Amino acid sequence: MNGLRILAVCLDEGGDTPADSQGYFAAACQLVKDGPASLAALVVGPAPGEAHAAHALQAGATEVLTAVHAGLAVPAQPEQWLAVLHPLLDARPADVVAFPAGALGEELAARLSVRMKAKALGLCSQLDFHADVWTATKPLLGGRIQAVVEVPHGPCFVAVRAQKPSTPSATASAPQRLLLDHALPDIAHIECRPLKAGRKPLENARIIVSGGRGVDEPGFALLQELADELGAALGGSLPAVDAGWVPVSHQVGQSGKYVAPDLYVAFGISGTPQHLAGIAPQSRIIAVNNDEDARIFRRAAAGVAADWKLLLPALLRRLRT
Amino acid sequence: MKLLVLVSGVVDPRRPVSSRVLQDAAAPRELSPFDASALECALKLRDADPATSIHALIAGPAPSEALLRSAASFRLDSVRALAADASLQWDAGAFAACLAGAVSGFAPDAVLMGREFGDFDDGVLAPCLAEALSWPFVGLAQTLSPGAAGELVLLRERGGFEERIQVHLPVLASITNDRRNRLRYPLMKNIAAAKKQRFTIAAAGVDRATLKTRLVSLADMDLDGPPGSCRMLDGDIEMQAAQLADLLRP
Repeated sequence: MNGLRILAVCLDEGGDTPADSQGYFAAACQLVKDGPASLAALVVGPAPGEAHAAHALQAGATEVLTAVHAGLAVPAQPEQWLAVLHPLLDARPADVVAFPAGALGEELAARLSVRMKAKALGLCSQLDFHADVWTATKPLLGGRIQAVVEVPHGPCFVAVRAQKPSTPSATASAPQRLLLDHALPDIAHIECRPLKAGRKPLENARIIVSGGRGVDEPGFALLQELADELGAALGGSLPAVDAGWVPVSHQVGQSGKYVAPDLYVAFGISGTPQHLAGIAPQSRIIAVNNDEDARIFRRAAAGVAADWKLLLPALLRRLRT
Repeated sequence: MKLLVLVSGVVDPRRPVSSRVLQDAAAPRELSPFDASALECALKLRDADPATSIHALIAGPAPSEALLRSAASFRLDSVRALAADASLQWDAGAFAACLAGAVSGFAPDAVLMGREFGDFDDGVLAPCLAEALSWPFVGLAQTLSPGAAGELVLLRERGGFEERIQVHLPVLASITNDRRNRLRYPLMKNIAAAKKQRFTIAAAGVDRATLKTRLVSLADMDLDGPPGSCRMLDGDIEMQAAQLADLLRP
């Protein structure tokens, strides 16, 4: 295949936030729609799981390298990851270097693009290559706007969001494993303490229970119970975060996190475009709101027009019997 | 400490967004929630140490007087504008290089900016600018406070942890929204003073011939499902709870 080379970097940060490498590699594989492209995968982490390489091969990667550096701290510190990734990427030239969307991946993609004199395209859903020009499709403002941008040919760094896996075929070489032990930047100036124990992260949650302005503080305690009952993560809209009912790291929306659960259960959320912009289009939304004209019902697959104060206790009783 | 707050402005986020409005240079711009958070973080640092000076640079294709006055109404030491070619919004590397030149002219100890810069940035510009300046970068900070001499302490939540980061100056921090950094209301006397202020808008020194990234199209996307596609669960509360429980059970 005399085509474009995509290098998809998978970041296994360790800790409690598993990398959704299956959906990520699927998205990276489908990034370039026109023209032949080959996918190589680079899995990096302090102790990356074996499953990532399998997911890369399943997505159609023809080469997989797993690079392990046991000195990478948990939680991840970008300076250390830059020190690990820069030499690895220098040695593996690619037309497109993809990183998983998210705080760490997006920061690393941007910073490495400057260090490696490449283009930083940010979040991209599609790339096309014609006549020495890249055409990048970018979802903006939570997908409410789509921009198409033309960039002259040259290496570029992008961030991609996970997609449903497909089943491409490819002939792959055996995955390789590389153990690294070079010195990493000192991070003694950073103190970390875990946030409230037992709070499941939004990242990669299959179910998210979320609340908005229409709920209140005791209501969020009940939503946490519901989340625990369903094995779900707890999220909130901007007004709920502003009210202090849920931490900002659990905010869903344009100014919070982009989430892609199978099921998003929304209580007391009106469904502003800014909030809905944080939920993947393929996520199934079930909404509870006492206003039957609430905008969220336009996106929801199922809805209940009811007062959460009455519905939530009844629902918890039902789920517990 | 000398702080530089970089502000871009966005079209009114409370109104329905459209590609037409986003491309209209004359459409009113206001501080984005992230611009506002960055400004409030700077004001809090000045509260803690009145010797702190705050300068604001409004940069973008349409740095309006209204935006300049919004920033000036917080009694900043200077408020300037940099009119940047609209194409720069699509080329983060070139925009960062352009801003790096402007930042160097201020010689600040720290640069604070929103985690997204304007309507079209998805968080790429701030880390690119830090690299262009060869400065340390702290992304998505939520609060800042003075540290030891020549240092700042930044807090952020990331991946189930709260991080307390003590950095030597200079530093570039991108700021995310947090209830601790909601922008205060300006004093009436400062609003009045800002109304009388005169501003200079400088053009960014960019060689347009080198700007090869080009916007091809901007389109509105409809994220709503087809009308009537939501199945409403009816009956009394107990019936609704029973139906909902059936939907939620694995």
